[in-house]
Amino acid sequence: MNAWDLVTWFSACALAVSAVLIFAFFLRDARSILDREMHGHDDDAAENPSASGATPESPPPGRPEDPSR
Amino acid sequence: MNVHVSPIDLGVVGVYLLMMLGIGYYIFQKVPSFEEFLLAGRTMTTPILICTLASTYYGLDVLFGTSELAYNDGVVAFFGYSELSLGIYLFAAYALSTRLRAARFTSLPEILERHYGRGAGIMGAVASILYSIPALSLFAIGRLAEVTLGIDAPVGAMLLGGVALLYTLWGGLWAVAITDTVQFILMCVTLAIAIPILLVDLGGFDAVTLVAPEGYFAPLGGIPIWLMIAYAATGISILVDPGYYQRIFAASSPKQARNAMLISCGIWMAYDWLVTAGGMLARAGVASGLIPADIHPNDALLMAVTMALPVGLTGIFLAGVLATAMSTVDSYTLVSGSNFAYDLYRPLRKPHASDSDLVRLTKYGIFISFALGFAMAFLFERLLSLWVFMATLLTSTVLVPIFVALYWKGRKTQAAGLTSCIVGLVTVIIYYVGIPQLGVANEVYGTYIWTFSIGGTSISLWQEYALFFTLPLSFIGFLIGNRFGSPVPAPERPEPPA
Repeated sequence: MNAWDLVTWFSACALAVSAVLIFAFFLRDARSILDREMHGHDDDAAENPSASGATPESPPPGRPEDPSR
Repeated sequence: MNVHVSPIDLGVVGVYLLMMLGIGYYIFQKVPSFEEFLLAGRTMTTPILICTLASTYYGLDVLFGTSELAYNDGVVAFFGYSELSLGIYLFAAYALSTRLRAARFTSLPEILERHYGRGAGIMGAVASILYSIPALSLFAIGRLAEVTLGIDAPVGAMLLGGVALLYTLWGGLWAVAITDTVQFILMCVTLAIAIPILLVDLGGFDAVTLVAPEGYFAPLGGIPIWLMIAYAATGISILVDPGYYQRIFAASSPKQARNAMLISCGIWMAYDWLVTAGGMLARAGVASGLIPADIHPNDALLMAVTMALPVGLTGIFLAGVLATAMSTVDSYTLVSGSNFAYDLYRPLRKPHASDSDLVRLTKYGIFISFALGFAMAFLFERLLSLWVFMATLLTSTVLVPIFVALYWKGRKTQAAGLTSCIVGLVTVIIYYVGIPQLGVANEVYGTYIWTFSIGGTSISLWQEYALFFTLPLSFIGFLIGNRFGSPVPAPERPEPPA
């Protein structure tokens, strides 16, 4: 087995393991995201005010802030 | 040349397609507002962002284009073509993702509209629509259907691309992102299984060494340095890629956007290497008789993998390949659909368009984009060149004004943004029309080269060098335009959809 073979095995393992781990994290998030999004709940309004527009101070969707200021 | 596919493998592909439709229909029953349809309510977390970023930005052009380069030229496909763009992706992760997300825009042309007025916004929207038309992906889906299923390419593109169209129309970005997640898993896992099997079957890279031409393992090959820089510069397009922007806007926080982009960079690296390895191993496959000698290099990876994998896994691999193309079709039809509705119709015809109006018009736009892509896919012969032109056009038109808007705190006028867009657009068209007229076609690289002398020094201008001229000229246009008109104090803020 030469160096190119090793790189290929390493890449294959890294890609497969990453994909499975990311999918596991996605499944963890999926239920809470769908519940919040589809039913108007807002668990993290402080971090993401636009998720439900729950906070009166939050800018409404579609209103950008000037990034250069 | 067709690939043999067993009925079991066809069944696996059928299950995959039904699953995509099922996800789209499930979301269809749930998504009510424009922001949820277009930006998934800005609630996307890191895992789903990784899946949708990685699967959208890597289409069949990477899978088959990179493997073809590897088959022909060796490891330069990885080191020379793919990974030089990595620095640009890392910049996008660290410097751009967080800034874009914090600014809370809705679309790429909206950045221009807010900073430089309606004219610049509309130019950005038109460039974004042209870039996002899924002609190349639909052509690839059709070609895949022809090679694997034995049906005519246009029929295959209509049927299989139609599945992506349907779930995008039903569920917007939620449907796109969740199907992208399934597609991402299929893309990665099937490639990660297939290439090691191919490696073992063919006797590893030692077998490649026996049949490799000179320079096959040289990281930078024998490609001219300016051409390599030009290829790497095509990675700049991610800095203005509307699909990338849409995902960053949809992130639930700037930190999630940055983390997703960083992790995606690692995944792209591993994916690039496996595709490169697959192309190189296919060459050994030809020498060993596993693959027919008259194979087109573009089909070599697909042929090698389907011959190496057992029944069942081949079906999963084909579903993964199909997923690679569908994730690009769904994402870019959604982007261009929203450009039609939010960035053209709204500012030009109905500034206070309601939420339901925007969702309805976005769906019309998605359908129009798909129809245009389908027509172009089977009308134009040099689709890859056409796509490279569209990408260069978008980058030349919007990169300078957008980056000044995001990073420059000083004086900015509407004239500056508009002039920069116009100069970028006009110069790229002049360059692309002019070089074929002045130069000659080069069959080896599939491009046009104009060679001339200045003071006894011979200079060769390739068509791929367009950005070296258009971006500086667009910046000069900005500086000239910035001398006219009054500074824009802050982005105008129209009322959000009712």
